Amino acid sequence: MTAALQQRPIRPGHVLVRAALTGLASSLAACLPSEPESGATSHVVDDSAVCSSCEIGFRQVALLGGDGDPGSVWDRAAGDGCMLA
Amino acid sequence: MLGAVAGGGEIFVYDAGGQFKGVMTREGQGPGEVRGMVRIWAGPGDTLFVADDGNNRLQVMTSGGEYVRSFSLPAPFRRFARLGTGEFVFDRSLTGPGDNMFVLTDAAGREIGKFSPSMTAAPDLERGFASPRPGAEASFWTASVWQYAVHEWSAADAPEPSVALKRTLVREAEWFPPYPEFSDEVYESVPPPAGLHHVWEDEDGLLWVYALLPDADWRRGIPLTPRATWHRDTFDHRVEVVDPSTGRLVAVGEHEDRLSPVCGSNLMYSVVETPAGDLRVKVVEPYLAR
Repeated sequence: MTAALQQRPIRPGHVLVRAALTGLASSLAACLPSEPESGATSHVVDDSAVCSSCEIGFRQVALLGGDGDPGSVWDRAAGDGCMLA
Repeated sequence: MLGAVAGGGEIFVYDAGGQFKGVMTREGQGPGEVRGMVRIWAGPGDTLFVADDGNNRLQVMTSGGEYVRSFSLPAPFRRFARLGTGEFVFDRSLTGPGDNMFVLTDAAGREIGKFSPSMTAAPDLERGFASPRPGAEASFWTASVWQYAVHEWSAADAPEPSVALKRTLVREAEWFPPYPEFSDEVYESVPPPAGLHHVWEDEDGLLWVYALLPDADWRRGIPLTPRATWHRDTFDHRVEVVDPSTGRLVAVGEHEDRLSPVCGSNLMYSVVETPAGDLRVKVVEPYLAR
């Protein structure tokens, strides 16, 4: 996404959908498929009953780099994904 | 081999302990060579699928880096995913109105279809990425970057090659206004907007959605550079687990680093700096404790 951000893809005069102007619900409604394909279903994510005892964690499985590593490459690896497999 | 990382014209190999083992490829246009930004996807039997934007092609290689075959990409791309059935989904760089965000090809690179969510809000801001469903299915998820919307698609060979939209999930959240307004002040005096960065369906059918947010301690004046330290100081990650069958938000988590996906797996990585100033890549496995 960094590259996307740095391109700052704005077109002069373009009308942006902004929640502050139109209300969040209506702006998101505009983002739903305007003509749902046959058989497709749509959900608005329901955040009213988030599991209070659930926790997302991150277990470290490897630490790459170290002696002999041409480490400057890792600066570039911090960008978009699919650079590590 | 645990993995290989591409950083522009080269692929590096590490062992399971993370020790650097050597360089797999060299820069160029010939078989087994790569140019420019490189994306890697590890497939069955450690087969590597390597796409480089310098040559605009996808190469199939062995885990030892030996060239097997290649095909030219149907369009300039940014990321890609390989489905369990062998097809590829490329998210392409849009060049103008009417462009489709995604291209689906068969295993040999023949185009099956071009498609985009039927979005009309701000087509010139549309960007997306794809992620396959687990197992040998021709189904996959795509997500838009500048709005919290994910889509499930299925590909079919009969009666003719096609792609169909199956499900859409959208999220209403104050912290994620869709289609943010950009200005030259973003990153300078204005923090970056929220954006989706990755989506992954796990073996239990739960959807992991990764969103990039401004760092909680973001401040103006951070030098704009694609260095690891800039990513760390500029972004945080919000991770949400959603049950796509009901739309229910199951759990929410945060990570202070900027995470990126390890292709073709549930693993994520971040670039971290040691106290001595050396860079390392930390690979983490996200998990949900209930």
